[in-house]
Amino acid sequence: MSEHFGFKDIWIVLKKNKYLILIFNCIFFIIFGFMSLKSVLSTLKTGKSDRESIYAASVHYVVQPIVESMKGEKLDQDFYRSIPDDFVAIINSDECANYIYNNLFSIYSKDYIIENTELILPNQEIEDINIEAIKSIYKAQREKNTMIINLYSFSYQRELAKSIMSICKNYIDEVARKNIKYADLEESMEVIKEVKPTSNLEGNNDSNNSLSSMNVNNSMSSKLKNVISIIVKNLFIPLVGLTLLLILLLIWISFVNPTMNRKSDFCEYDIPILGEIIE
Amino acid sequence: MNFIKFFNQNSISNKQESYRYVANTLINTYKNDGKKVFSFTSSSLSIDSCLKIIRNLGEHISKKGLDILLIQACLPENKVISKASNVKDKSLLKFDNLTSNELKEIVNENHKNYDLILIVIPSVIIKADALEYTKVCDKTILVEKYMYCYYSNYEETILYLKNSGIIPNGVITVV
Repeated sequence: MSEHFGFKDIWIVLKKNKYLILIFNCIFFIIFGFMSLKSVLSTLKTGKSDRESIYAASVHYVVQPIVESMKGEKLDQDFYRSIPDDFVAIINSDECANYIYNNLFSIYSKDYIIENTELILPNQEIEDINIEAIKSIYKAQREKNTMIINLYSFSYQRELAKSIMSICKNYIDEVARKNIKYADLEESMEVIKEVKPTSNLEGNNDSNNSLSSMNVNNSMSSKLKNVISIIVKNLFIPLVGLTLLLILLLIWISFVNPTMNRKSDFCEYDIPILGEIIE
Repeated sequence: MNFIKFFNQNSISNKQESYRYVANTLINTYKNDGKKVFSFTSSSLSIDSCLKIIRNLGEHISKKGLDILLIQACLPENKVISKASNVKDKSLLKFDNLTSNELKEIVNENHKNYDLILIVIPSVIIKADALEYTKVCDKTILVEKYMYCYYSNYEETILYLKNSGIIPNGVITVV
């Protein structure tokens, strides 16, 4: 039968089963729609498009060598220069994130924290908060070619930013300082600034060092993009995929058990065609 | 609006013309060899759908001045039996589970009163009696619808008929 199967037959299969395809699409649109609705609502909950600014708390530490500990030991300049990197590594470690996680969630409720930070990504559930996510609300980095470490915390609430910074500082005092014996940190005054999302932490518009690069983005357009991407990934792509599978199945069935779709199909059987009635 | 009407009119006139064409073919067959008892069966259409088509065909034939008797030889199981039911020309007979002898008697009774007798019978691959009905008729014509007629069913129908010594005389295709 395959010699009789052509594009016209494929078109006929689609035409004959158009209502089946439509019903199939409607059913799965409803099913996938409900599934993606949950993700969309979660996105809308976490996005903060009406907030125009973020509070960033910052503290600067200067790494100071401890002269007594270095007595009798020959330490070269490179070792001394690498000490700030050690501090940064300790502060950015999972242990520190865990410490902050435990302390922060013991002070504030989960909902409050999620509402006032970008702790979870738009397509994540609240249960997905983990240590890695915590790292988005604070950051330690070394200022280039200096012995200065900058520590930042971010939140949509001033008080929360201050609390995160306070917990970070406690960790530095309890853990970081004790782990590194050849240097100490000299702390500067804590500063809390209200900044725009596209500005850097100094308050200047600098896309290279902007807050958006630190996973903080609360613009309306990004929220809309997230919603659209959820709908496309969770609704349209599966729906189109399943529809294509259904069509392929119908075509395959039609190929295996074909119908007679044209006059020439009847001519093979030596039975004269008396006429064609249009119904 | 006129544009749409144009297309609608064309499709209606095409439908009428298609029926007329087939009606003329049947009339010419009758005039050529005098055989007046035609049976219509299908591997793809239900008996009701087949009856509807043949009834329309009969109306076009009767417009040519011929008297037509239409017989539906076997009703679908759930329908009520009726004889000479509500048809415009009152020349439709419906019977349930006739034997071939009973059908033959009915045909013989009405043979002289009508110019053409059109008998709609169920599919030979569904109803065993359908083969017996076709033996009563002078000519057997298949009515098949595009997109709904499977190769397997059509071949099976032809095989059943040929094994009973009946060669279909033609096929009417339905779009």
